[in-house]
Amino acid sequence: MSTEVYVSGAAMTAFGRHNDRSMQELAQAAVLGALEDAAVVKGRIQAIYAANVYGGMVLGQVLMRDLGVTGPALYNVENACASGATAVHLACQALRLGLYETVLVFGVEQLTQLGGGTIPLQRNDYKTELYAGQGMTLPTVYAMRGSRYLYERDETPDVLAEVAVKNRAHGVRNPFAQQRTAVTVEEVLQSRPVAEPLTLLQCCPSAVDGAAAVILTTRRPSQQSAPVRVLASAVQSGHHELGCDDILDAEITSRTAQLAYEQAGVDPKDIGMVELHDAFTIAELLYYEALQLAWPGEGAALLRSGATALGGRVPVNPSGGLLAKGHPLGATGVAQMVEVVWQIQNRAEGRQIENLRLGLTQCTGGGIAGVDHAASAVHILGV
Amino acid sequence: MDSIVKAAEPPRSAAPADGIRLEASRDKESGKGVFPRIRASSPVADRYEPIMLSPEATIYSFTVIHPNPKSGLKPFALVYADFAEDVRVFGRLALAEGERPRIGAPVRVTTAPDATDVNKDYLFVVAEENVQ
Repeated sequence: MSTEVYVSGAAMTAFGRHNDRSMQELAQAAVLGALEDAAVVKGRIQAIYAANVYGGMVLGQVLMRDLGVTGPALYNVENACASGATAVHLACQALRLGLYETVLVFGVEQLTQLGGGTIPLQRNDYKTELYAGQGMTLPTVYAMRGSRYLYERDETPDVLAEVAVKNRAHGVRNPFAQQRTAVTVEEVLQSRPVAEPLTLLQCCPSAVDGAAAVILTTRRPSQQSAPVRVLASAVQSGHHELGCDDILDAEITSRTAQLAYEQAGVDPKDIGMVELHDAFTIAELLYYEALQLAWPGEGAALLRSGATALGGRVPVNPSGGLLAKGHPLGATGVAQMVEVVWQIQNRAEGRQIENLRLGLTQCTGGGIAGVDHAASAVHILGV
Repeated sequence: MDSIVKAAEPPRSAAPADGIRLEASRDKESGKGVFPRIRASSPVADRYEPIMLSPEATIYSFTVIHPNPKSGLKPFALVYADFAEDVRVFGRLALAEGERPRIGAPVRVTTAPDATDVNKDYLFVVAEENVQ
C-alpha cells in the first residue's frame, strides 16, 4: 500500500436500547463526534460510506439529510455483519486510488425495531430458505460448531463459558457497552439454553441499537502526534461449501487474515490487541486459530492462559466484544476500529492497553447456507 | 440440558423398500456433492450431475434448540448428517423422549406423514447401528 490512509477521527454512540432515539439521531451523533474528533469541517468530506443491514433503501442519504452532509457521493454498503468493515475497505480503496482526500464512514443499526429474538437470515436464496424452514438460524450455525468443537477437542462447555466471562468482564469497564455486569462460568452455563451447547449469556445481545463513525484521510492529521494508519484492509467472500467440510476451519477468516498480514507486512505475534467477531462464544475460540493468535488446536489453551484478557499478551475484545458491547450489525465493524483507535491513542479509559502500536479488527458477515460465511473483513491499524 | 421432546407423531412414510433417498448433485470438477439438487433449468446445471443419496447418513454435529419459553414450543434437535456420497444435509432429528443426539450415530431419512415433497419435508430418525 503506497498511499497512507489515516483515521483522523473516531466516535460512536453507546450501544444499547435507544428507545427514545431515532436512527437519524444515532447516526448523526456518531458522525458529529467523528468530525469533531478529526477537527474537520463537514465541507471537507468528499464522499460518504454508509453501512447498514436492515434500514432500507437510500438510508445513508436519509440519515445525513438533516445534518447537512449532503452533496458528495454517498455509497450505501450492505454486507451483513461485515457491512461497516466493508464500507471502510471501500473507502480505503478510493483514498488510495486518489479519488478522494477525506471521507466519512459510518455504520448504524436499530435492531430493537425488529422486535427482538434471533437476527433473521436473509431469504433470497433457495438453499437458505429450505434450511430456515428446517430450523436453521444464526445461533444454530454456531451451535453446530460448538458441539463439534467440544467433541473433537474433548472439551466441556466450560471453555465456551469462559469466553463470555472474559468479554463480559471487559464490558464492565466500557461505558459504551450494552452489558456491563460481570458473570461467572456457572452463571453462563446456567443461563437459559438457546441452542446447545450455547446458553443465553453466550450469545451477543440482539436487541441493541448504535452507531459508529470514522473520518479517513490521506492528509496526515496535524492535531495528532501519532496518527493511526490503516495498515491493511482485506475483504473476502465465502467459497461454496461442497461435500463434508470441516466446520471448525474458519477458512474465510484465515484467508482474509493472511491477506491482511501480508498487506501490513506484520507478523501475527506483533499484534497487540484484537477486536473480533464474537457473536457467539464458540466463534472467538475458532478465530484465535484463524487469526494465527494460536496454533491449530490451541485456541482453548490460549484463552485459559489469560493471554487474551486485559493485561494479557494480546487482549481480545477489550471493548467487551459483541458479547458485551452488543452487535448493531451495520455499526459493528466501524465500532471495532473506533476501539482500536482509542486504544492506540490512550483514550480507552478504564480498559487501556499500555504501549499499543498494532491492533486488528475482524468481522464475518452473513448466515447464507452453503458457504462458511458470506463475507469476512480484517483490518490492521497502527502507528 | 433438558430431555428432548418426542416427535408429535412417529414419522412414517410410504418409503421404497430400500429407504427414502434425497436428490442431490455432484460437482463434476471436484467430485463433491451438494444438497439440495441444482435445478435442471439452472444456467449452471452443466457444472453438476444429479445423484441420489443413500437412505442413511451419520451425524456430524448437532444442536438442540430451546425456543423462548414464551413461545410455548418444545425443544427440538437439529443435525448435520453426512452421506456416503460426500454430501452434508441439515435437518431435524426426531427423537424418542429421553434420547439425545450423538455425533457419529447413524440416521435414516424419513418424512412427516403429510409430506408432499421429500426434498423439502424430510427429517431424520435414528437408525439401528450395525454391531460388529
